[in-house]
Parts: sequence; structure tokens; C-alpha cells
Amino acid sequence: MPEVVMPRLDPLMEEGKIVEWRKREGERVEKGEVIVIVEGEKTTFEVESQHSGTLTKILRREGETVKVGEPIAIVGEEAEKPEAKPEPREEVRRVEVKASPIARRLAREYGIRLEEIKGTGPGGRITKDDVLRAARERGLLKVEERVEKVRKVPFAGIRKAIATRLSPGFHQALPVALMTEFDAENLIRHRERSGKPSITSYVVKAVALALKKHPEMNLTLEGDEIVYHGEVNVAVGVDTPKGLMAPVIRGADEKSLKELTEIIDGFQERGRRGEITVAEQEGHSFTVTNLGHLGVTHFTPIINPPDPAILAIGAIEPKPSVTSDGGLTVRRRGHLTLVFDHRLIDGAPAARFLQTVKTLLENPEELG
Amino acid sequence: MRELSFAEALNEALREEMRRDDSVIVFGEDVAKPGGVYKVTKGLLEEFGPERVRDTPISEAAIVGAAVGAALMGLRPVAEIMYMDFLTIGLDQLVTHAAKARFMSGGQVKLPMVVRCQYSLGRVHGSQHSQFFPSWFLQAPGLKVVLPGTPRDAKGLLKSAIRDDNPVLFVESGVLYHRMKGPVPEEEYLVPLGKADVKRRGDDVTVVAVSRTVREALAAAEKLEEEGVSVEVVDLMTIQPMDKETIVESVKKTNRLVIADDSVKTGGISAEVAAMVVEEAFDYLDAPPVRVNSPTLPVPFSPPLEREYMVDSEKIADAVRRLVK
Repeated sequence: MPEVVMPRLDPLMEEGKIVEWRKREGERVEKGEVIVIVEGEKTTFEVESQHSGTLTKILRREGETVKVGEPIAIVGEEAEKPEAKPEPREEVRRVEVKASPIARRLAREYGIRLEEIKGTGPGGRITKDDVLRAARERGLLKVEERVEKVRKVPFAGIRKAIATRLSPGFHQALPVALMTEFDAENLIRHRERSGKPSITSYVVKAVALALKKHPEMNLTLEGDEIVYHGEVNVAVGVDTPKGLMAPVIRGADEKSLKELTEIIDGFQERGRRGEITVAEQEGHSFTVTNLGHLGVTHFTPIINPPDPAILAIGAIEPKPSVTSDGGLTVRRRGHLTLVFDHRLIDGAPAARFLQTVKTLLENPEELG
Repeated sequence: MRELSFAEALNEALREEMRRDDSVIVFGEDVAKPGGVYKVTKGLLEEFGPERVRDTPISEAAIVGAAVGAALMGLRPVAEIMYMDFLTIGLDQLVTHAAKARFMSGGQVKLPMVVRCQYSLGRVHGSQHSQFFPSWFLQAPGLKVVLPGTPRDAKGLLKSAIRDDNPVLFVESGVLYHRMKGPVPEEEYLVPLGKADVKRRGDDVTVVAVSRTVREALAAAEKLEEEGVSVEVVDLMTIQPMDKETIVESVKKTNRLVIADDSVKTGGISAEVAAMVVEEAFDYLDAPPVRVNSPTLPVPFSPPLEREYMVDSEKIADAVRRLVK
């Protein structure tokens, strides 16, 4: 006896759901008559009988999901007699759709029926662009389909060196940041008078003198030992085309502001030319870094191992300031952030150190 | 960088390899005293002497056969066949002996030989002196088939071919010998066999070309850029073994493929590339691959007909335009 099977509504359909039987068991059906409504993944479809006869048995009930090709009903044979009926119609009418291979693949991936896409290629062929347009209209465009122009370089060389050098300063240290401001009016006037030494040179000198005054801050962590230093060797962060370098000024406390400015300017120049050596970046116990010229006020840099601390110089900017008699005035203020490793230094001594630096910068004649 | 003609670049490759390795020898019709009918072997006799640079009788079977024997005995012969057309006389030696020896001996012998030849399509040399059939040798496994498209590649590829331990068929475009000049580094370099080269980067269509058609493809790409179409040009350089990876990678990016070579269309190099791409990258194609070839006919002698017969930049550009519409 002829079986009615679950039809394939689209090329990828694997199973369908019986929505509604239009005929009851025992009822007469004519060839081409709708007997059941089936729901595929995307559409609902009327399934027509291919035979005339009696619907003798409904095999699968409404609501059941059935694999494509499995029988869902049986139509009895008694009315096999030829009938003046139009040409037998296929259960499911398929439209030949012209589409390129990549268009078919993308349509499948986005779950868009090719029949719903307008082809703009030769002879109405659906192209990749047509599918992507349809996907965009449906809000389906996945991120990876947007072709991003990227440039790939190996994570090696100086970037790798910077990563290797700085990682312990973050992963092993217990960094704490202390932030403060200082009144920069005296410093700016002093600078005008003294042939414009760089701001960094003032801070390096202040740090160097403060390290002399607070020898408990002038240390490095070398394996299992904390090494306290007699000399004051300060590294200075230098932005170079190849990346961040930190060459060292040895005996920074003994250098004049003019000498420090020349040394730091020399670092910048040689950094631009890529001439700073590895050896020049070794043997420090403290680092100073300056982003003030780029408008940054406070930042918390990574401690430069084996140092216990790093001082970040922020921008000097005019700010409202409260005078001693409670009035308001505008003063140029500088910004400092001290990041220290709490494994090696406690908060109070670090704060006292920062206080010394601040006082020195507010009284720049002590810096020479 | 200094510029050399195609012929000069090849000459330099031969010279350098002969200086580097005493076992490299050169022979063929008119290669010694006349210095080659197209001057590729000019001056080699004077520098390396009659032991290593020899003129042969007009017998291609003997030339290729002698190369097979010399290579089996440990020399590195570079044999010249004046026209690709006459290679047919030496096919038995090349296809049935040279290409097979290494396999049939289980790797006990190696065949470090190069057979150089040129095809004269574009020089109005008639049907019997203009044929281009490197695709035949896609059916001769064991043979490497190399077709340079620029002076730089010609030199680097010939040096690699001479150093290779397998028989190499090295097909040159005669029309490029003295009409194409290009930058050639002065320092030593090699261009590897079996690798294609992306000669121009682009996003919309991949044009795969080889030998003479590389220049045409680049000219087409230049024209199409003004029309807003971005063409990637891949130079095959070696057709056996073929660098599938470079071609497929390019097609995956552009989704459209045009292949242009001097073979007649039926069963040509382009046919092999198209079949390979359909097989390896079907789901990335946005249109059928398009072949730009000569018609499947003998090369006509009449100059206007020969021009009509040949692939040129306009035909390649038209194929691309049809694809991007």
C-alpha cells in the first residue's frame, strides 16, 4: 500500500514536525489534495497526496517529529483507477536556484534559504555578496566575515625583552601606588633662571637626594637577598621607536641639573637612533618615568626589576589652589605617583620618601 | 638595482653554476662556438673550454639521451633544445628514461640534468616553430617543469634547476629573451623550484599566469586598478610539482579565478589549475574559473592571426571584467 513519507522541504532538512492532519483515518483523499501540514526548520508546508484512495492509517500524530523519508501515513489502494486529473504534482515543488559554491556555503552557514536571496550575478546567479547582503539585512553577519586588515609580527626581539624584564615587576611584586601633587611655581621660576634644565632632571635629582636621605629605599631584590646600595643609580624611561628603554644615570645625586639634562637628552637622541645598549640599562635601584609631556597626570607604571619602586612624573598644570588664609588662587601644580613593592617597603617609609621628593621639588634651590 | 635582459640573466646563471661546480656541462645545437642562436650561452665556450661546452649534431634524441647518460654518470648536464617543437624528437629519452630512472632504480640513481628549450610564440615563426606544450609533461611524473616569467626568476630558477638532483625541463619564452629587461640582484640568490610567487597583491580576482603571460597579467592588473578592480597575480613558475597552497590561499581570499597561459585551451596548464582549484577550494568559488588560452588550433603564421591567437593583457582584463561584472 502506498505510504506517505515525511518530505524534504529543503536540501538540508533532516526531520520535520507534523503540525496538522487535514484528513482523518478512513477519509477519501484525491491525488494532489493536501492531507497534512508539516513544519520544517524554517517553513510550514502543505503536503499533497500522490495517490488517490482512502487514508487507511495515520502513523504519526500531530506534534511528532519525523525523519525525512519515514512513513507518516498509508493511503489505501482501492481507488487506483485512472482519473482525469492534472499532471501529478511533486509533493514539494523545488525551484532551481543558481548560486555559486561559496554563496551556497555561506547561505547554509547563516541559515538563509537561497530562494529568499536575490541573485545579481550572471544569469541571476546568487553570489557571495548577495548572501552577505541578505545576512546583513537579517542582522546575521558574523564578526569573522568582516575582513580585517591586520599586520602580524613575531612577539620577539625588543617587545619580548620588555615583557621578560617587566613581568616580575607585576607578577611577583605587591605594587602599591601613592599619589601626590606639588606646587611647581618655584620650580618653573628656577628653571627659567637656570637655563631650562628638563623637568625629568629635576625629579631625578630630587629622587637621588631623597634616596640618600632614606637609604632604606635604596635597595634591590637579588634572589633571596635584599641588597642595600650606597650609590644612587637611577634608571630613566626613554620612549624609542623600538620600544621602551631604561638607561641608567650612575651617581645621580652627584650630578648637576645641567649634567642630568644633557645625559637624559643624550639618551633620547641615542634611543631614536637605536643605540642604547643592554649594559646601559643595568645596575639601577630606582626608576623615574615621565608621561607629563603627553598630558597624563597620574599613572601607575610597572616596577622595573630589581628595583623596589618607580616614580611616575605627571603633567604640570594650572589648578585652583587654596591659599593659607583660605582664599582661592590658581597655581601650577605637578603630579607624582610612587609605585612601590610592599614586599620590600612599607607604606609609611614610602610616604616619607615621597614627601621628601615633593619638598625638594617645591624648593628647587636645594637641587642646585 | 641593475637591469638585465632575460637572455643575459640566464647566461649569468649558467656561468655562475659552471664556476661553482666543475661537473656542470652545457651542450646543444650551436651553443658553443655561435654562443646559442639567441645568445643565451654566449661566451661560455671561451670561459669554460670545449670539454664543458659543446656543439652537437642536429639530433634531439641524441642530445637528451646524452644528458641522461651524463647525469647517470655523475655530471650535471644542461642540454639545450633550440625550439620546444623539436623536443618531440627527444621525448622517449626525456619522458620514458629521464623521468623514470630515479623511481625505477628505487632511488639508487639520481638524474641531475636540465633540458632547456624556448618557444617562439609571438615571433611569427609559424606552426612548427611556435608550439607551447609544457602541459604534456604534467603527465610525466618524475620530471620537474619550470617556466620563468621574469629575468630575476629566470636566473634564480635555472640555478636551482642545475642544483636539483631530478631531471628538470626548463621552458623559456623566446619572445622575452631580448625584449624583456628587469631587475636582477648582483649578489647570489636562488629561486626555489615548486613554489609559486604572488607578483601582485589584490582582493577581487586571482589571475594565475606563467611564463610570457605573467607580464600580460601584470599589465591587465595595472589597467584594471584604474577601473577599481583589485587583481592578485600569481606566477606559477613551476608547473610540476605545482604549488597548490599559494593558489588555493589566493582563491580563498578573492573567490574568483582567471588562469592565463600560452597553451591551447584543451588540456592546458590552465585546465589543470582550474581542476585543482575546483577540487581543493570549491566552497570558496563565487564564479566558475575562467581560462584564458590560445584556441585549440595550430599557431597561425600570418602576423595578424598570430596576434589574434595569443593571450594578451586585454584578453585577460576582459575575462576579469566579466567575472566582477
